[in-house]
Amino acid sequence: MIETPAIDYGALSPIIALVAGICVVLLVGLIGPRGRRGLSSALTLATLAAAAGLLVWQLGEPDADLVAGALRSDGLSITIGLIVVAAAALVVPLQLRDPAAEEAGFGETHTLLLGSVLGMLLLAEAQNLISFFVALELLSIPLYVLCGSHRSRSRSLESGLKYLIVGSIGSATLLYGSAFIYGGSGGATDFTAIAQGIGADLADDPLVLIGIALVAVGLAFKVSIAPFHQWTPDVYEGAPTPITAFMAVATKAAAFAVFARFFITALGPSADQWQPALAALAAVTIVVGNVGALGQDSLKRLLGYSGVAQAGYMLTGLLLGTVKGIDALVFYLAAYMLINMAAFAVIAVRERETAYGDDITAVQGIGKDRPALAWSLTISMLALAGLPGTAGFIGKLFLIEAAVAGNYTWLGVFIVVGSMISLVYYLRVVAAIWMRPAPRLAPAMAGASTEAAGEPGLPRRTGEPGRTPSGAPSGGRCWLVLGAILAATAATVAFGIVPSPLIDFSAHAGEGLASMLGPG
Amino acid sequence: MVAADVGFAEASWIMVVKSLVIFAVILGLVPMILLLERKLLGRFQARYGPNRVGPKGLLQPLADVVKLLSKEAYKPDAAVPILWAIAPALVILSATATLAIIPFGDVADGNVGLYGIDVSIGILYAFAFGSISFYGLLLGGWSSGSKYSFMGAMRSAAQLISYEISMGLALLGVIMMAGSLSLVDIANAQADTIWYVIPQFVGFLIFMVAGFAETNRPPFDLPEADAELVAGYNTEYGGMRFGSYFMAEYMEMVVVSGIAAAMFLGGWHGPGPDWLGPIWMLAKIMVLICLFIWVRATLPRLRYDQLMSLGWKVLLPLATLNVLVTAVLVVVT
Amino acid sequence: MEQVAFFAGAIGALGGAIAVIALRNPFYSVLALVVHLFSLAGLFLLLHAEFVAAAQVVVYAGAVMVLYVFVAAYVGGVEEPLWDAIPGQRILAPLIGAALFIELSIAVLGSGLKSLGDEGEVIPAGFGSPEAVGRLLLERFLIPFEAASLLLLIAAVGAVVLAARRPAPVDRGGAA
Repeated sequence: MIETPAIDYGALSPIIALVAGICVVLLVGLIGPRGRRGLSSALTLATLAAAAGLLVWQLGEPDADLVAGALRSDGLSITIGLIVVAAAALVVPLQLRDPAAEEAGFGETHTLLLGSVLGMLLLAEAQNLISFFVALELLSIPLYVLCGSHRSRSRSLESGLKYLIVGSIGSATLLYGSAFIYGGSGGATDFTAIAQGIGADLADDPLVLIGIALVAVGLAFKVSIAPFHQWTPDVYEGAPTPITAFMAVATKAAAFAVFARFFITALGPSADQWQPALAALAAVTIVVGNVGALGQDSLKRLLGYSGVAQAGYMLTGLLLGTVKGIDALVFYLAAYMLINMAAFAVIAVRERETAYGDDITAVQGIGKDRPALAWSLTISMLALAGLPGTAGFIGKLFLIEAAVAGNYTWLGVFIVVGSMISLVYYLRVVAAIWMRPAPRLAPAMAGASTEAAGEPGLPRRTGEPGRTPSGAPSGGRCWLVLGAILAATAATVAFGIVPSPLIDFSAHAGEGLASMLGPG
Repeated sequence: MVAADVGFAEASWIMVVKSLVIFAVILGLVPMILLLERKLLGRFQARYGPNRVGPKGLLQPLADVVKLLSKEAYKPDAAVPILWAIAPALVILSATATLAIIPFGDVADGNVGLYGIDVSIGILYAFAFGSISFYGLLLGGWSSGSKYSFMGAMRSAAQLISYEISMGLALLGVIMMAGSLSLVDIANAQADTIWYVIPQFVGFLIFMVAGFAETNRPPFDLPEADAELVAGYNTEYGGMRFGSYFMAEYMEMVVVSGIAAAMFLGGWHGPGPDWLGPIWMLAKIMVLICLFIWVRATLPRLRYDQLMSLGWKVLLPLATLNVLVTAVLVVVT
Repeated sequence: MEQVAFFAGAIGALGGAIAVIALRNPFYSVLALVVHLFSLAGLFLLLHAEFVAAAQVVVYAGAVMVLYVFVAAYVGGVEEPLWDAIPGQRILAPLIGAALFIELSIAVLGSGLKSLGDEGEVIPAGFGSPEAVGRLLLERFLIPFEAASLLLLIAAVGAVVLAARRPAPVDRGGAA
């Protein structure tokens, strides 16, 4: 008979909650026309809240290997899980008035969103190659669909298709690499077993190294590390904005979690080999991301390139392989989540209020009539640039500190230089907010006047996307959205001034990874 | 090392002899079924059926075969050369290969199993080769370069996808009850208890309906619906290439009947001494084939949308439900 | 005998894979992919992975590829545009491919891995049977197995989202 492996239902409970939530949301979506917007959103939020609560409960419990070593619930997975769940929870109110969600149906959209969250949680917990890959696909496939879910807009379809193709290549590369590692480590799938299998003898074996390289490339596709980042701006621009926000933050968090866990625990023996390679990638990424963002007029493209640069910063924290580096990485991810959600939310609101889409014109002169939005976007931009007084500053400080401690001072210098370059484009947005007058062009001409904007020559199909269903320009007045924006901004500032709660939070991650390394 | 899975080693010459015997028996069976069908259809329709060639028309199939063999191997201009020639061969290949797993008895005399092979994947083997036969039909229709053939091939493709799932699910109930995929084990499991057709009656019905569809037999013969498609995917074929398609259809009928007999009707088990086993099996197969013919004479052809909705909206949910109920019962008891 | 089977399978798999990308007619590409998948199934059989081989044929060749063939046969014959979307990729892509190939060859040839040279491990009885695979899925890899089932559910939802009939244009007035 089948001998069921021991299942620790407590440690598995966040995942169980999400699975139950997916089923409920999917079924509720079937009732009524257009999938019951309010009910579906409320249920999604309830699911996320339940998952978050259970994750917090697990933070206090001892680390544990779950279900025959497929997953591991420890500080790293729980902190990353919380970041992901928080990002999803901030996206749900944004989707309330989203044309894409309305077109695809709320039940379906939220099911896909929760499915992706589940994949991310599993990915952060994965500690064997099989669950690693399945979780990665569970994360990606709903996102491919969500990117293309605004089907009446060809840009969205293009984005979905591009993401699907590039993402599949990334997955295939990763799978190919894991096959080499599986062979190289003598048929091990568990991360710790791989580390033992590779051991000292095979640490610089060409077969293992090529596996490591291919896995790194596959993961680089997912977290958009240069030169595997080319899809990022296009996909970010084309996808519905709430989805872009979620993708930018949550995918990165989950993928970095497994990146760290896989490389540090499983491939630890070969650290001397992959560290310099990843360091070079990080340096290239920082430069490419920051330089690429310079000429962008589309805010989503700009944030896309900025995301590439941020991935470079984060990779620095990862490749050090130290507890300090992981702490800094998770801190940075948490801060990045807050900042980015606020920024994308403002873009989403302006996208619905004006006819300029995500072009920088849309935020020109909003300092006067929309001070709340203006301040939020300003603070986000400054935080992304890493100005003191924001969580972004503390995050960068930690990363640099960890880099210096890990003998990668030159990467620290790269981070500083990159931040300086980035000020140019972040401040350009800030200047547009406060120093430019609000545009007076008729909406129909706006598309023609901004060549570099999202859709050259392509008139926005819905005519007036700013209009909410009722026809009144009230998209931004949705209090839930504004509340989410303000909360994220407030947290950005608060953690910039009093970072200790977030430091304690991220310290769990390093501990978790250290405990996994400890016995083996 | 392959032998280790079977449990005993058969000399290779035994395997060759076995395969020749099975092939010869079935090959001999096909013309008889052909004659039987025409005779029975005649009776169903209140006429005699073929009665000119030989005594009582018994040599009719032979005449048919000679006719097909002596025809010119004609190829239409629009046809794609190689694919067009390969397609009938694929159909025959898959039909013949599937015959190998139909058991006519248990291991006799110590080390000769009365079946072609007893693979560990059992019934999955039949499904694997079933998918090859699909390519035979589709390639034949597509490469003919004729719209009737193409429409017929497309219909058969849609039909095969729709019914293969129900077919598999219908068998899953039996597989769960017997705890094995091997047809030999399943037949043996029915020796001590009742035939699975009783507890798995729903599964049996679904399997037979899906089996009619998989073999393109009436009332599911839309791929070759002669009123609208001339002759479906084999419109452009003549001579022995047409003969291959024709023979494959009948061989598949034997295969489906054989699988049904082994999985639902107790296989070779029946009253009387052990050596009657193969005869019992053949008798059961023949009874099921008569069912095929009877249905052909009785039921009119389905419309295309009826075919699809029957497959997806009736058979598939029913088969799933059957699997669920069986699973619960198997765990509980 | 095993060598012959291996090389037949390997040539079929490689030839099929190359043909998939080299052929211009999508229908032939799909057929080449079918050949590739059948060859892979043959290779699995050589590795005593009987269940995997059967699943490969039933699921991929039998179900997935049928849909491909279906689509390619219906919409096939569409000529590909002859221009390159990315200039220079016709030169660059083979170069990079060749570089990767050389790299992989170096890796395989230069590996210090012991098991590459010898006969490999002894296969236990029942290896690759449905029973053994089922046991692995329900014991060792329970979580990935369950996650895969969810993945299929989510993918089905996604397919419905993408393929559902487009909503009537704009007029969303009533929704508010």
